[in-house]
Amino acid sequence: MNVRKDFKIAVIMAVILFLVGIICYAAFPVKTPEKPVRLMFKCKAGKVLFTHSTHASDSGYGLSCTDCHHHNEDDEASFMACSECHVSEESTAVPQSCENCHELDENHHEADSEKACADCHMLGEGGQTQETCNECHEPEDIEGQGKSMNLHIKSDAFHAQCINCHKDNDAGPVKCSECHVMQL
Amino acid sequence: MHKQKKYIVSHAPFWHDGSSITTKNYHIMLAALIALIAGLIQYGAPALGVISLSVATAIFWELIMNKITKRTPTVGNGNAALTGLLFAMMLPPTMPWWAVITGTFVCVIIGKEIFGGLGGNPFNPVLVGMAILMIAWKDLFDFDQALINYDFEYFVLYPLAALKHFGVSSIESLSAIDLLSGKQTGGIGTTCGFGLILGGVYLIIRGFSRWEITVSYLLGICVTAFIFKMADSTAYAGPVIHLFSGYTLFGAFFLATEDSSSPVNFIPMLIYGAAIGIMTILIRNIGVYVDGTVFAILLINLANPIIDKIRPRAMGRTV
Repeated sequence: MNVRKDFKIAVIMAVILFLVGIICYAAFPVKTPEKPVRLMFKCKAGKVLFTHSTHASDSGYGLSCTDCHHHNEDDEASFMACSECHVSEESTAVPQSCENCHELDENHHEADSEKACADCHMLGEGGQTQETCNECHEPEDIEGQGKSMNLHIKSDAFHAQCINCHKDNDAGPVKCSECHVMQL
Repeated sequence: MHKQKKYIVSHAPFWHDGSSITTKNYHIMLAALIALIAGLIQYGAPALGVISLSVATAIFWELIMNKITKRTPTVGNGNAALTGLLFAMMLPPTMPWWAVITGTFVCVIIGKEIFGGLGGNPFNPVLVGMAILMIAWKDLFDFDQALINYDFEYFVLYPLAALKHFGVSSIESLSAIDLLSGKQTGGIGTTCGFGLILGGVYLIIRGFSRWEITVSYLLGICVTAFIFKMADSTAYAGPVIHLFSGYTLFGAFFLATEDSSSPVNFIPMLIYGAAIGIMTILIRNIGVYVDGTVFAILLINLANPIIDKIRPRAMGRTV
């Protein structure tokens, strides 16, 4: 008698919870906030968790949007052209060595001088630089198609932004393994 | 000494005290409720969705299996619901619906039913589901990634991941009280340490779970973590972090004590619990996984039949 009652209770409970589950998944998904709380940058050297709200809020580090971002998204008039920062070059050739554009700072090669750039950074086949700008940069990011620009790739921009600010304020991580979740 | 009464045995008819597997399972669910409610408050409706879907589909999977194998429906005993509940409590609130349904399928069908149902499973069914999902879709269990849109007013790194990737210095700001009160990220029902302890102690007092396993497990964690800490305090965290973060308390009170996959004798229970504790810390400190609880319990589940060979000497035996 009790077995039959227990069975009914379990089935009724399952049906109700199934409906509750569907409603919750359909109507109440986790909302993406207008201003990011945290951001996870995924890259070859290991993902990086960036605490956006801590950096931007007054109770945190109190940075303004333009301290990091090129322009305010709400104000199109403040948009800056890429070339205002990234100087175009005469040459149309893509540099063949990473070090032609990027300076190696103390964060690189400190543990293993034999480590190749491609071990951590996304490069073309054989660890070579790409043949065209578009293989690293979005076409819309490059002003004057067909003209080689001295553009930073996104990771270089982020590295420079983060590390320089941390060094200037003598706070926050500056070494690779302090930000990147290195693959084990 | 010879006058001491060791057993008082009366003759039949015997009176059943009313306890049953059903009662036990619903009491375990009741005990898990405190930590669960804390998780629901913390994570909101998405967490309720995960919990509801998991419990419901676990019951459905068992019912379907009962039909296929033409056995009397067993969902009434509450074990499927309990499996679904414990499984969901270990998940992040952002777990996709298909992963929840797949997970409960693995828990109920592969973890339990193919071994003949309740009592026949050599491994904890919840952990079979968790282990397979953690290996198949490990990114879903990256709590830092999963909870990226939740705005907490406390330290936002998953403590064990921070410890693993950035060292002891990254978790120095965490206090035991904060961890116990749920100010940490993790599974829906595994972060509120006070709730888990209260629920676990209730189960022990009521006799639904064995204190020997829980206590020896926690002691195994403490001693092993302490030894690592003594060996290198800059590389390894002390017992407090390991006790109160990750799945430790949930594992100690709700997972390691699962009937079918744990020993029944006193000494084996102590060995079993301590071995899980030691293995958990070994995986956390020198293994690749952030939290070793799931794999540690599964591994020692495997050794359970051998450990349980250690039995007390039979009374009155002359040869």
